[in-house]
Amino acid sequence: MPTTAKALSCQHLQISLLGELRLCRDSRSLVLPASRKTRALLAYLAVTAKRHLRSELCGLFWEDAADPRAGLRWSLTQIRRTLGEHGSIAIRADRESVELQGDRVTTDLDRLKQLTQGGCTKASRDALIEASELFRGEFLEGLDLASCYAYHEWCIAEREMASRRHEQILLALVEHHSDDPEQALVHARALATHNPLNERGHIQLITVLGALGRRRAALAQYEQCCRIFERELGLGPPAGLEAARASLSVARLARSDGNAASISVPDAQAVAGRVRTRFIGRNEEIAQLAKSIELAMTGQERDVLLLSGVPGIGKSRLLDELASQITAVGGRFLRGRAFESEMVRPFGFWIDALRGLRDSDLPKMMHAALRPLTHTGSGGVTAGDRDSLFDAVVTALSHLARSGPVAVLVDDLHWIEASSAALLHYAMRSLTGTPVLFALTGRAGELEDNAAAQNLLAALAQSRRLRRFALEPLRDNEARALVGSVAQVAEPDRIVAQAQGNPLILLELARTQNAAGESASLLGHILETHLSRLSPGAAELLDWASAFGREFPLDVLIAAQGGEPGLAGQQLSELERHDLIRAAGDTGYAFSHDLIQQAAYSRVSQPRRRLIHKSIAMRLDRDMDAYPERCSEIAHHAGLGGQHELAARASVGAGEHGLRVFANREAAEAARRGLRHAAHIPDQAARARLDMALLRIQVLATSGLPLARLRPAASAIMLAIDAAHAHRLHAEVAQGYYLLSVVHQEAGQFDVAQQATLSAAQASDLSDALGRARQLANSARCLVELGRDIGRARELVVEASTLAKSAGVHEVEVRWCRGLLLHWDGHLDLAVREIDAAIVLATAAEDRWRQCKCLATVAMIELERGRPQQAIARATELKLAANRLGEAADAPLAQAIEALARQMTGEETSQLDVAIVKLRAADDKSRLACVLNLAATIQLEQKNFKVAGTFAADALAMAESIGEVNEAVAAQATLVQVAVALGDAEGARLMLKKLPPVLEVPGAFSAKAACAVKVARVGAERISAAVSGPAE
Amino acid sequence: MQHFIVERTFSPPLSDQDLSAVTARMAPCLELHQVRWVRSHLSGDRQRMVCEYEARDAETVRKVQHEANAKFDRVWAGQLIEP
Repeated sequence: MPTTAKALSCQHLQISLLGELRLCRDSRSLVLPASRKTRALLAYLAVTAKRHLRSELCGLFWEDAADPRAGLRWSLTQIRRTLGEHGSIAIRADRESVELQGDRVTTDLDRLKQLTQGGCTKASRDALIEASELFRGEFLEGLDLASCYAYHEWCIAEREMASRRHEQILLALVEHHSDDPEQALVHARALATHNPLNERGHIQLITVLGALGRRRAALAQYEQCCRIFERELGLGPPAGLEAARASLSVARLARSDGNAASISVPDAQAVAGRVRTRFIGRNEEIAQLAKSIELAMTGQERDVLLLSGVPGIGKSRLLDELASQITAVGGRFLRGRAFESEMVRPFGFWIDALRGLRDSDLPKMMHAALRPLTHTGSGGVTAGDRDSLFDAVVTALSHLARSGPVAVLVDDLHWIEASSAALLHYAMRSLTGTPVLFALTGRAGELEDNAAAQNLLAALAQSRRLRRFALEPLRDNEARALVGSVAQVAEPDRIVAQAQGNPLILLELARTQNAAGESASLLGHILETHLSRLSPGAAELLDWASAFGREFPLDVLIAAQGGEPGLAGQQLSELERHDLIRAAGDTGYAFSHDLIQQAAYSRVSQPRRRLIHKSIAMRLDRDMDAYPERCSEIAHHAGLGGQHELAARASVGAGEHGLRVFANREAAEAARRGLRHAAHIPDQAARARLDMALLRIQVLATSGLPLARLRPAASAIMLAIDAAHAHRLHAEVAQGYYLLSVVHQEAGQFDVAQQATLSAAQASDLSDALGRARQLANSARCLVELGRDIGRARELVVEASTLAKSAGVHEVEVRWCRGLLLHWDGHLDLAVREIDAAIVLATAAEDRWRQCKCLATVAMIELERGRPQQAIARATELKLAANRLGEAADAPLAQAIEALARQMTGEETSQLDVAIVKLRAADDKSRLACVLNLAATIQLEQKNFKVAGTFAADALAMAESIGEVNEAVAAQATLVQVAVALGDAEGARLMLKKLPPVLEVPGAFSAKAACAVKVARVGAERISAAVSGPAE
Repeated sequence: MQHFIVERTFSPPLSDQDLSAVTARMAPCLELHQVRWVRSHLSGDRQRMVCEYEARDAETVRKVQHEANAKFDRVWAGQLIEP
């Protein structure tokens, strides 16, 4: 049945995900929804191919929306419209779940899996070529949606996976074509371009160029790779690269070709510079705008004008015309743009729009009232409230309108943040009947993705104040005139047909004389033409600039890239000549269009993007304190650069800045994003601190406002309190209970709130007491370790213990110090018990340094107690902890303790000598003296008197060099015993005489030193008696 | 007394506030352990720092850093060579 077969064929849906999202039914492209969020949802459903709960999809895409389920419903309607209502492939949805269903849905990802099943190395050459051709760009190009955090993470992970697979395919293709170097070169070039940070691509390219005898080109590739590695990774050339370079045969130099890397010279037309094109077409719209201005001059224009249309259709250009017209009638305009990357920058639009105001434009008082928006540095924010700020803006606009009509022009409303939108709406309401005209531009379809823009437009529509201008494609005659206005084109009709009335594409095609194929992404293709005419340096600068978004500050760009300002200036001029960028303000540039920026950004590989964003974030971080309004920008770049700790920290700064300028929604939003980043921080104590700071912002930002969706749950605060408890962050615990009390208060749970307030007060007292206890115990412990002022140390530790006890907590410094004092007094069992308690506390708090020091002390005490097996066990623990800490002296100390323990059991080992050499190298004289003394004691007990004497003499020298009196006394005592053992009565007597009055001043020396002296004295007296007896 | 160098790196860059806090925490530790702080060099981008000390041994210098909770990468004994 041919009809049935055809019908079935029509139902077959091909979804292409490797590049821009594309849907084909029966080989015909379907028109996709304009909303990026909707397209992303469609792609997500296609890739995951399973049933999803509505709540899960809402969390992924509409976390920040006031009514997430309504957003999802709207998007599903758009997808149904795209797919058609009667096909067998459709959205199947019920009250709880959603699924993309259909037997005949295929994706390019499925095909890729089939082609490379069993690994790329085993795939046939044809399969690899087909697989490579599936990649039209990166996975879901332009649909990573940075503002939908959870979806963004999923998209980036999938993108990286696809990118890795692409690399494997290209690598396998190069290897498959080892017998055909020309073909291998094509794939090697693609590989090196795909990910310039992977040296394998460069190595393959150099090798293939070498095999073709193109040595100069190979060397140029080597140089380029070195430059990239040095500049972007701070690394020297990888070893493999050097090997590839070395393998370039000298013999082939003679065949060096003429294809060596050359800097392409921009053609005359491209460098002719931008000529502002004459405004062509849109006569009807221009006439209506003129009428609006006329009405506005007498305060009669109630309507807010919205210019909407697809990207590149000429919305901003029409707004330029409005600005020119208002200036021509003696008026003025305030203009700003919303940016996708700044959707959490509070009042971003207003900050930019008001920046152009001069001192003479407004009275001083009005300037002062606008300071939170016009002086955004750390010292510029003044106290006040949100209402005063809004009134200040309205008053300023009214003042400006006294001397002529004022137009407030908003570019890219689809990216506006909530605080700017709220102020805009307030100004529109308050300035009705005044000569202030409001005009907005926005992308059709994407306006619905932004809740703030949507709310504003809905409110205006409800009050019948919104006049929409839906910009249509230019007519053919207008398009031809536009093409003719920029260049002499051989085939204008072909360009007109190709551009389909889109002025941006018309202009770009005319300027580049491009011949883009139908299947290629038109702007991507146009950009490739531009790039082929750029020098490598300018092309690289463009990559970096694209990471900033539409606009980029020059100083940050140059510093982040690590470039040389003079050279960067030349490269920027080159980009300007190609009309890719334009100067914007005094210190920055902007891409000539968002689409150009997006096309440039999509060329940058994912690993490189991460690196670029990281570099930008780190550069901006240096000025975070001075420019708190940049915190949201830092968080944005740090997030994309995988720097979660920095992103969370910058989110704290962004949230605090939001609170200061009364942008509570943005503050809460920044904190919510920060919490997502904080979850990735491995250092749990740092995470606990940041979590609490971010929760504080969320609570304060939502307190008393209808922002319940952004308010943290009490359970989340309790979890943070528990984490802070675990890391003994008592100030954070107190903060947590305070936040809990606010949240309960808001919920009307007054009893629970009161309880939380009491807990906060207790935690705060506890924090003070604990800080004091720690400080006292720390001083005491240092005195004991130095063997000085032991009486004072005892007093301090008693006071510290009392404080800690009254606070009901255990403090590592208190237990450690008490252990050391017990050791000093010779109560070895009790000392071990106390220090063990300190180890438990230090381990729980992840305080590795104290953990190591306590373990070392206990291990040494075990040796003193004559318990070698226990000492070995402690030394093993110490070794593990020392490796984690990376401290120089702890690992050799562990080795020395183990060797001493083994000697104690009679085992012969050379490990002690090795460990002593390492301890000397680490320059830890105090513990070296201790180890040498222990070694001397063991040798003495094993009757190796001479060896014992050598160790003791060494210990004595070491102890004396650093003024360690107790170790010096112990060493001297051992030497006396050695002399006694060797029958040297005179020597023993003389050495005994040199000893300080250890036994005469109780408590001034450690029990260990006193005990050694006592033993030595008894021995010396005995031998003295034995020697003098017969003589007498 | 020997001459010691302490190398430090900071990411994020060291703020004036952090510098003052560490200096305040370290002062009593230096005195107690008889370590003399000679001088420090902070890079323009505030991401690197080299400090010079005089002390009885390297471990004491390391210990003071830990006691004062001061971030450091390595400590090494240096020989002073002057023009």
